[in-house]
Amino acid sequence: MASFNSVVRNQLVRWGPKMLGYRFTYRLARWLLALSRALEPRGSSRAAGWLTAQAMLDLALDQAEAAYAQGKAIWTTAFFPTELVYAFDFMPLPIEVVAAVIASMGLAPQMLNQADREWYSHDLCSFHRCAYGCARLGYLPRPRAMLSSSAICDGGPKLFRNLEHLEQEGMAASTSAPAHFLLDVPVLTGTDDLTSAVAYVADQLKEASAFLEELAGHRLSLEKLKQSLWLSNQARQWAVSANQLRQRYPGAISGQVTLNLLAVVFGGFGSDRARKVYQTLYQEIASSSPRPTRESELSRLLWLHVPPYYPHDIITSLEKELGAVIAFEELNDVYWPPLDLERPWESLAHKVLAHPSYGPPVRRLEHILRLAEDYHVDGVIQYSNWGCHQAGGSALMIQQALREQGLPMLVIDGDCVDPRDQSPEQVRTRLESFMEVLKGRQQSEVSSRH
Amino acid sequence: MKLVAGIDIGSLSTEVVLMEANSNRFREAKEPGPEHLAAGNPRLGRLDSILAFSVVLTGANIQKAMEQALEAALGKAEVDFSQVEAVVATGYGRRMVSFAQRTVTEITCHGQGAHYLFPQARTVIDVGGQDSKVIRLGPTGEVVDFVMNDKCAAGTGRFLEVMARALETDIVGLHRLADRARQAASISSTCTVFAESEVVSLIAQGRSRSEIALGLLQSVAARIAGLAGRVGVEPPVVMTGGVAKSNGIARILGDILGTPILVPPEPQIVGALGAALIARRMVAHEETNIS
Repeated sequence: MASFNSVVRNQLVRWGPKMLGYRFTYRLARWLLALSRALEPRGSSRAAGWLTAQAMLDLALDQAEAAYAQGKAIWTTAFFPTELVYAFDFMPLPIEVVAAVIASMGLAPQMLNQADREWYSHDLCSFHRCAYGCARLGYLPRPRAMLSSSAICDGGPKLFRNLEHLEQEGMAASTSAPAHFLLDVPVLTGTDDLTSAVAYVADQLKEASAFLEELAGHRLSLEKLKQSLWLSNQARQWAVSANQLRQRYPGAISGQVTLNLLAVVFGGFGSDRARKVYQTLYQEIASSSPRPTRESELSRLLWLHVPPYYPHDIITSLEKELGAVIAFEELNDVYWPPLDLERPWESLAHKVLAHPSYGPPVRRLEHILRLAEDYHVDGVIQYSNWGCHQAGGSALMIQQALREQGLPMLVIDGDCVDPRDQSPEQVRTRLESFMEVLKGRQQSEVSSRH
Repeated sequence: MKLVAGIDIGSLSTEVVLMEANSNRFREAKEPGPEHLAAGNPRLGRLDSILAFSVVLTGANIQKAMEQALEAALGKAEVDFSQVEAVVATGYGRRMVSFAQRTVTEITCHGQGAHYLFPQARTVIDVGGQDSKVIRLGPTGEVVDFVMNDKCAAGTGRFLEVMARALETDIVGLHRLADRARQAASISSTCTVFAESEVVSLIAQGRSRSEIALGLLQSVAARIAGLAGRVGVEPPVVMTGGVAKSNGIARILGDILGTPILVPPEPQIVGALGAALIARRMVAHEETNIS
């Protein structure tokens, strides 16, 4: 007999996309969200981070409505500057975030099976395989266009190229192909000329703008672009302030909330929703009763790369049972300077090129070492998604460099989207063992002080 | 007589080690000196400080296996469970031991057990049923770093078990076969299922079972050596786990790593021994606090 969960899942798959197509669904969802906020008494026992999670849900609802009910969605890959998309009143839908949401609902296996059937190798990134299956099965409505960036991840552009090809060949369900624009980001080495790289990317961003102008049927309003950049700067400033607080009060907000901020990093900048998320985050940390974690026995962890998104208890067990806090996440760092509203193209190009994970691995390494110092971490965890070159490729180098700094690092090779490729018990043993190492070190430090 | 127990519930076997809670009786036990380590003499661990131990197959019923193992160890020592002051559980089934005062992972327990038997040990390689682990130890036996195999069964006891079955023998028989080989058959597949097919093909091609057995041991050793490379190998190296009961794999691994591998007399119980040692420290700590 089918379990309750599988019945719910099947109904979700059957009716979910249809329900998402009605604007009424979003009105109802927003009303329910507002009601839950209103009914929540102030000073109640809700966990810090609850309001931030709600603010993220607002952004997710906007994105779902744009995709399913308004036909305004533009699929993007994780590292495309979304400020440009918001300037056209389109809605960016980061395809990796879509895969993460699908995984969190327990629907990924069905999408991955479809990708398997169409020769999308099991060895490739499961985020992109899941998104592919989702698109091919028709659970995602056709976007207005697809924008990808070659920075850091090469799976996204290839996914979009594949989907574009299928449409052009008439092998997809719809009749007109959504066009794909690829932002080609040059790899910088230490000796490269940054000025010419910025000019190269800025020129392409102008081309992307022309591409979107054609799609929108009107010219880009420079005022709208400036507004989008201004909102991006607002979100950035709140993020910087929140992160500074996190340095002082690690663990004030659960890693379950902060790790989900990646959805905003990848798809929110340029919107007022992102500003609201980070402002709420700042206020929640400031008003929570932060534990003086630096002096306590809790171990502070730096999380590298991304976590798994299907239901799991990794973060809960770390925080509730194993005496750890997620002090910070690599991908939540604000690594770029404020955008210059008078030089929008160059500013955005600078932001794209400034990502520490792009270029020689030593850039990422230096970034991680700085974060480890800034957030006073005791240990580092990287969950390497199978098929992700960016995550696994530099693991050894990072581990060795951290070891020289006296910081243990745990690398878990696993899958962030496909729960079938994971043994929870084996992961649990690795986490517990790692925490035993950290606790042992802390105890010997204490005894050597006395 | 107060006792402590360490219980290691692995995927393949369950082990129990009983020790006296606070006996000084075995302090005089001879520790292996550098000369023994240099000679690669593996038989000088301090196992004589163990009161009794037992090993049973875990099977499908963890609870039953645990009870059987405990009863067997208590029976050998001719003591009663009421004398057991503290129990520490380890292994993948550690959280099933409801009467354990503490659970500790097998990484820490193998580190503690290996350090107790070979105090100079700096690297421990444990090849268990479903996991292979390489553990780097500090001077006092503390775990400095570790690495475990990923989800794949290659390089684990399970791999060898499946291959031994394909050759119609068991793991001990596999080692015996390998001892007779003059050259090894090349096994290229790391996937357990593919490797099994490869073994069948090699038999069909007329390769001798002993050559295939040696090829299999070499394949597992190469896999473990690759894992060890991630954390670095610092001698002396101790090998634990049921697979180490036959010296063949330790010898091959030693050749690859360029250092002799020390194997205690009962490599399978090192995890349970580590758990018992932690239990003993817990009792000592409690007594110190009371006094």
